[in-house]
Formats: sequence, structure tokens, C-alpha cells
Amino acid sequence: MSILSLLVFLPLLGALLLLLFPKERPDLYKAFSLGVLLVEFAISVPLYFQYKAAGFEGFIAEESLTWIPQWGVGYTVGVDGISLVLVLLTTFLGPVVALGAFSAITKRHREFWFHILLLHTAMIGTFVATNLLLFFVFWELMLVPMFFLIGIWGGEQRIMATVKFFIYTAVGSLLMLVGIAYLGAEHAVQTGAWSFAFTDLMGLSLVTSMQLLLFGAFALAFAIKVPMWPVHTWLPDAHTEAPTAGSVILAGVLLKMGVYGFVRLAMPLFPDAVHAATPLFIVLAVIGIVYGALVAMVQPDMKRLVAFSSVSHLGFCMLGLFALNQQGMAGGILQGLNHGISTGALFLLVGVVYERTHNRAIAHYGGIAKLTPIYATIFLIVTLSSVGLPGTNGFVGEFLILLGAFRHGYGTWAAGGSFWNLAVVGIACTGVIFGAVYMLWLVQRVFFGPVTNPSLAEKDGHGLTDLTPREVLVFAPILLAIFWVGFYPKTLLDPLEKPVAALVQRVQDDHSNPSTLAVLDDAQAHEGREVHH
Amino acid sequence: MDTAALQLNWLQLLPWLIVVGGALLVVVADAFVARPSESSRSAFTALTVVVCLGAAFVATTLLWGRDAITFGGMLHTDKLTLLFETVVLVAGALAALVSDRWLARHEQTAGGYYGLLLLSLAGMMAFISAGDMILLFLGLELMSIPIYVLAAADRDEQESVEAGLKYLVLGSFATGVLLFGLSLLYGWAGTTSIEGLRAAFQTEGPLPIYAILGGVLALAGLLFKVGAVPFHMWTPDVYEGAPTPVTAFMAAGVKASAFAVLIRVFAGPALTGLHVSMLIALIAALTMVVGNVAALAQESVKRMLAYSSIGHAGYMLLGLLAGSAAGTAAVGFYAAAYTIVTFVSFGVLILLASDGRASITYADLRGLGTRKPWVAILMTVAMLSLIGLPPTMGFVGKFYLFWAAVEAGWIWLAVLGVLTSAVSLAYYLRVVLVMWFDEGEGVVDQAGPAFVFAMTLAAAALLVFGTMPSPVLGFAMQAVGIYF
Repeated sequence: MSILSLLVFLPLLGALLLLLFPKERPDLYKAFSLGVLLVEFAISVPLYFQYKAAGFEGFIAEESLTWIPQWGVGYTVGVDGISLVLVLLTTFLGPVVALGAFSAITKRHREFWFHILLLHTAMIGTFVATNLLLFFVFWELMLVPMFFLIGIWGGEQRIMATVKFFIYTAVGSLLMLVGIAYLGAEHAVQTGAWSFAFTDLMGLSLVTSMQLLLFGAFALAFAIKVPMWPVHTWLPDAHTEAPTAGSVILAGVLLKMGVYGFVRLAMPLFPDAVHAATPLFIVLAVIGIVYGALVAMVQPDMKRLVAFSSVSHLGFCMLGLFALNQQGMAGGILQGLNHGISTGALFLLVGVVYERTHNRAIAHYGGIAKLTPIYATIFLIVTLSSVGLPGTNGFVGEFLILLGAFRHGYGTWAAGGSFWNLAVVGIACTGVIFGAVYMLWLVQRVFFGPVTNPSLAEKDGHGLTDLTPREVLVFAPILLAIFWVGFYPKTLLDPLEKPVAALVQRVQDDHSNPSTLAVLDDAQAHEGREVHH
Repeated sequence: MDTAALQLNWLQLLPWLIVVGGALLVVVADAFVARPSESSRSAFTALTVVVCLGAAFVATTLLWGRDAITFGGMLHTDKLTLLFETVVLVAGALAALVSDRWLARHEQTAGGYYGLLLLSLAGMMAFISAGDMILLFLGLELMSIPIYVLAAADRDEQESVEAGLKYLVLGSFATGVLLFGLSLLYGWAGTTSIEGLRAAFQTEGPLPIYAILGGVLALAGLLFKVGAVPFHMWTPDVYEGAPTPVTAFMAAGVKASAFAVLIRVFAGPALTGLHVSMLIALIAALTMVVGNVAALAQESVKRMLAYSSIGHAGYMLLGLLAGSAAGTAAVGFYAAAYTIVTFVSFGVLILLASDGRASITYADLRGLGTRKPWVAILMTVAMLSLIGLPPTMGFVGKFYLFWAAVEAGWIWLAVLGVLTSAVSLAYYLRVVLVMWFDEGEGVVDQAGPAFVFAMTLAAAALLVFGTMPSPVLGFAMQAVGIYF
């Protein structure tokens, strides 16, 4: 059993063992689950060094076992730079989330931890699968624990939110299932053997019209997950109603699966279609950036504000991906990781005060920096990282994305395309400003000025208290990550470099069917060459 | 008819003989052997039935690798037979295990009930293994008539009697249609042998109109048993009115047997030769849409399952329509998956109807997750499998069916299939939702150990073969291998 299989199945084993534990012992469940997730993190870190030893290239820790020989599909796992950093993000957030949820969960403890562990199996499985069927199994499996996490431990509107989440995501994936079936069948037609392996399917030659249909089916599933405007409407509800742990995992990892899906499947499998769809996706991404930011600005509820900020941030990620060049794509993926860290932390921070006061309204607070100095400091640091202050992780990602997007926009314009190509990137830049506005305004209203709500200052145990040592321990690794990536992004950019370069190469040059070259307008072909030299 | 095939090979008939023997034994024992109480008598009889079905199952496995055509071409004991016989034996055994509780509650005599169940099972086995139209028809009747009676087994309930009568009248009519179709086919092909009929379908050139008419009528008769639209009108009322264990047996066993015969008569080139693909595509599309959309509007969970069973028949038709080895094997796999999931879901309904009500609404499921977590887990697994989410057999089966449809060029049907699956999310998810997210009160029967064991085993099978489907897939592929 390889280390990846261990990573995938250890949480599942933990979840099953949890069922054998004695009844009504929440402390035991917590400690055990935290232990499992810490072990996960511990065994995932050496993967990074293993990849480094391999020169940050290709796939490592590959394993291939017989699974369904009748369909030509095995249990095949492996990680390259892109999946590696996402696996690390998942295992990093795991213990943080678990520790953060210690006091937040007050009922049905065993079930909660069961679902958290099961969710980890599904998430890691999705990132490490190297064939479509295995990928889809984990992708769908993820829905079930999340459905329960929101539905049982969520807020007042939890049932509506979880049903919306489930139906949106499941329906989006169904058309992808037909696409998967088509690719499997097509592989059999073209080569005589059935296969679902990513690498085999990339060798198929598909006419552009078919590529467009298939890309549509895959992109819909992933765009819902990201979520891109206008299929983002499940997100504000799901994020707001989910328990803190659920929100953090949703924002931190699940949304990244959409990004990952584009990078790993939709883009390399259908390069011609990607070219045709790029202008559309850039516009959708920019709408998402601006719309998410504007809506976030007017939210009266802190958690909902953070939720809408996700729409804006993920818009940036998608803008980077569809710049179709090294900077943009690497930036897009990196920004995905940053969003996982920063927004995850923001959800945790909102969860901290909600646990104490059971109120998330911004108007309920004011001037609480005086009452909770440590909390206010951490909140401000995380806010600045979310806004993209130089020295924090957010800056690196946003900068790379905008750089990539400008190169793409300028290249298209210079090659005779419309000026709109460049203008749209300019509009995207306003998202950075809006982002600073809604986040800093939030900080100002909640933390600074006089204490507006006297009940918060009460010392009789009902007031707002500062972070406990456990909570500080929750945020310590996050702060470390924020500054580490801010000052030394090379740690994450190194593993991304070669896989992203290969992807850019694939999207720009590889046209398995020569007749489809005509579809490319000259501008894009020109821009492709320019990037490479 | 070659003389070698005329030999009477009793070994090939062994599983069938065991089941028929069991039926007679149960009826006689019930009448003559004194038992201390009605409930222990019922439990004893159920045990006898399960042992008998176990023996039949062993006999079936003995036949593995001994494919033969015996009794003058009447009896085909090939792998297709064995696959579907296994499926209906499992359906019978599960029905026996869940019936015990129902019988005890309704103070019914066990002997007659189980006797009819076994006779119907014997009919299914004959139906499945028929190599000749005559045996096919006899099997169909032996399968159907006991079920007409069983559907009305709850004599004091008006709905049950209505179900029995409705099924009898409509079922007889469908049998008549089938018979008419078969006689036309006989008149055209000049043989009652199914092999001969398949060969005739594949002859070059256009078929005469009466051959097509015969083929379509025979199809209609079989599609009635499957519950495909527009021959589905009886399904909701009969499924809801009949005693729940009988409903499960009908939904799983009868459907599986009818698909086995559809495969035997029409699979692959035979269907293409008949040139009715478009007609079947239309029926499949309607079946998927009507079944799933109508299920949305139901308040009674049993009735919802009845409508959704129509939808599942539609998915299975996709595999038959694909006409490929993959599609036909997918039908076999899906039949197995559907049989198991049916018993888990109906089994839970039996447990819930502790006060004798036949109709269980969503409201009765409220808070089951906290009241009876284990039962709720079983039901959740069943619902996930019915939706077709991994890692359950339902997912593997649906994917295989859609894949086969896409491969055969029926992409629009596969898309319609996933869209109707999306519709089905709404009502299957509602079950999960009320069980886990709502609070509620209500009495749930204390399930007996045999019952819990059977249900748990079935749910585990859904998960295990959903994760590791290759043994069942391999079995299904070998089963249809005879035609491809």
C-alpha cells in the first residue's frame, strides 16, 4: 500500500473505528479524530520532499491495482505538483478545523466526527485519483458527508441550504458522468481497449464540436463547484448555514476541487474547446470578481460577507486559469491555496465570536478590539492577507494572476483583437480595491471605535472573552502559513512550475485533430507563440 | 430437434425441483404438523423456506460450468439462467425473511402464503430458463397466478383485495397479448423454439408485417410485467395495495425475470432485426420521465417507491436497447442491484408499519436517525443506491447502463437518463432528509435478529459490490456472453 492510499483510507478506517467507540464520550471522539488528522498531516509532508527529490516533475507515489478489469479501469493514484499542494492544503486544514470544532459541536458528536473523517477520505481521494472513474467516485462521495454536516449541525436555514448544495452539485456532476461514459466509449473505438486513465484519454482525437459539448459537461460540474457566476447561488447559503468546520472545509478545500477539475480534466482533455471558451470564461470570472465584491460589501452578516468574498476570490482564480499562460495558471492555483488558508481562517474567526454570542450581525459588534486584543490582531492579519497586502500570501497570488491576465489581454489586443480583451482585465483590478473596501470596512465597524454594545463588555461570563489557548493554537499554523507563503512563495511555486508549464504547452499547442486548427483565430495562435519564447 | 438434446437430465432441473418440493412441503407441513403458536409456526415455516432456497442456490452453483440444453430444447440452463435464477432466489429468500414480521402482525396462515411464494418462484425459474415459447408461457403463468393471490393476501384490507383483482385482470390481459404475439411469431417462424425465433429475426431483408406485429405484441406483454410506460397503469395501485413483502417480491423478482426473458428473446441482433429500436427508445424515455416525475408528487413512501420502480425499469431498457454485450450485461447487473436495494427499502417500511398501517408517509420517517440509527443507516444506503451515488451498486449499474447507451449512439437517452436521475434526487433525498434532520416520534417495530441480519447483509452487499463490482460484473458479462 503506497503512502497515498494510506492518506486516502486512514480517515475512512478512523471513521469506521469511531463507530466502535463507547457511547457518549465526545472527548474521546475529538481526541481520536484530531489524532487521525494529525497523522494524516505528518505522513503527507514527506511527499513534498519526495517530489523535490524527483526534481518537481512528473507523478510520484504512483500506485496501480486491479479494480474493475472488465472496464479497463484500475485503482490508480499518484500526485504531481498541482495535486500535491492541494493534498497538503487538505491535510494542513484538517487538524486546524478539528481543533477549532472542539467546543462548537454540542450534539450528535460521534456522527459529526464520522462525517468529518469520511469527508477527508473523499477529498484526498479526489486529488490523488489518476483515472476518471475513481475521480468521479470520490467526487460524488464527498457530497454525502457534507450534506449531513450542513443539514445536522448548521444554522437555522440549514435544510434549505444543504438541499440546495446537494442538488446543485449532484446535478452538475451528472452530465459529466455522461461525458465520462462517452470518453470511455470513444477510447474503445479509437484504440480498441477501454480506459479511463487521464493520460490515455488525453491521447484521444476529438473533433471540436464534440470537444465543446464535452467541455461544457465537465465545465458545468466544475464551475458549480468553484463556483463561478452565475451558478454560485448555492454558495452563500451553504457557507453561511454550515457549522464553522463545514464552512472552512467548503471554502478551503471543496471550492478548490472545482479549480482542480478545470486544471486536471476540463482544460487538458479538451484544449480546442478551451480556446473557444476562453473569452466567455474570462468575462464570467470578471463578473464574479466584481459582483462578489459588491454584494459582500452590503452584507449585514459577517459570515455571509465572507461567503460572498469567496465568489470574488474564486473569480480571480478562474481569471488566472483562463489567462492560459504560466503566470496566470500558477497564480490561479496558488490563489486557490491562499483562499483556502485566508478565507478558512476568516470563517474560523467568525465562528469564534459566534460561539460566544450566537450573533453574526456586524451591527451587534463595535469596538471589540478593546475587549479582545489577541482576537483583533489575528483578525486584522488574516484580513490583510485576504486583501492581498504585500508580505502576505494573498499578494503573491493576486499579483501573478493579474500579471498573467494582462499578458493575455495585451497579447490578444496587440495581435489585432478587440481592446475589450485588455479592458476586461482592468475591470478585474477594481476587484482588488473593492476587496480592500469590504474587508477593511468590516474590520473598522467590528473592532474599532467605542464599544457600541455594552452587553459584550460584561464581565459576568456573558460578555465577549478573548481567545483561549486552544484557539490561539488553532490560528498559529495559519498565521505561519500566511507569512511563509507571503515571503517565500517558492515553496509552493516550485512544485507548480513544471506541471503548469506542461499544461500551458498542452492548451496552447496540442491539437490532436489537425482540422480543428482552423478554429483558432490568429490572435490566439500568436499569443501562444509569444508566451513560449 | 436433435436426439441428444432429448435426454431428460434431472440434474439440470434440480434447483427447480427443490423449490417446487419446498412449496409442497410447506403447505403440507403447515396443515399437519402441530405447533405451539401461530407466530412460531410462521417463523418455522419461514426458516424452512430459507433453507429450501439455500439448497436451491447450492444446486444452482453446482450447475455452473455445465451449460446444457435439455428436455428437447425446452430447458436452457446456461449462465444467463444461472445469473437471473440467483437474483430471483435472493429475492425469494429476502421476501421470506421480511414476510415473517408481516404475517405475525396480520395473523395470516404461513403455509399458504409461503407455498404461493415458492410456487411463484418456481414459475420465475421456468420462465427464465425457457428455451421454448411453450415453457416460457407456462413459466409466466406459474409466476403470475400465485402473485395475483398474494397481492390480495391482506383479505381484510380493501386496497389489498383491489390490488389483487386489478393485477389479475390487467395481468391476464397482458398475458393474452403476449400469447397472441407468440402465436403470430410461431406462424411466421414455424418453430416454437426461441433459438429458432432469434435466428428468424436475423434473416436478411424486411420482415413481413405480421412478424413485426407479433414481435411488438410479445414485447408489450413482457413490458407490462416490467411496468414500462404505457403499460404501467397497474403498478402504483398494485404496489401500494399489496402487502409490503409481496410488493418487494414483485418489484424485484417479477421485473428481473421479465428482463431475463427480454434478453433471451430479443437481446442484441434479434432486436435490431426487428427494427423497433425507435419504439423501444420512446418507451424507455417515457418510462424514465413518467416514473420519476410522478414519484415526486407522492406523499406515501411506498407509492413513491412504486413509481420510482417504473423509472428504474426505464433505465434498464436503455441497456436492452443498446443491444451490445455491455448493455445487456448492465441489465443483469442492475437487476441484481435493484433486487437488493428493493428489499432494504421495503424492509424498512415493514418495520415502520408497526401499527398495521399499509401506508407510510414521509412524516412517519421523521427523526428515525435518532430513534433507530441502524434502521436509518440501512435506509440511507438504499436511497443512495437508488439515486445512483457512489460507492453503491446503484452507481455502478447506472453508469454501466448509460455508458452502454452512449456507446451505442443513444446519447440523448443517456442525457435524459441523468436528467431524470436528477429529478429522482428530490424525492429520495427527502427520505434521507426527514430521517436525519427532523425530530419526530413514533413507534418502530423491534426487528428480529434474522430480519436485521438479512437487511444488514443486503445493505453491505450494496456497498461492497458498489466498491468492488468486478465479481458481479464478471458474472453478468459471462451470463450474456452466450449471445455475443
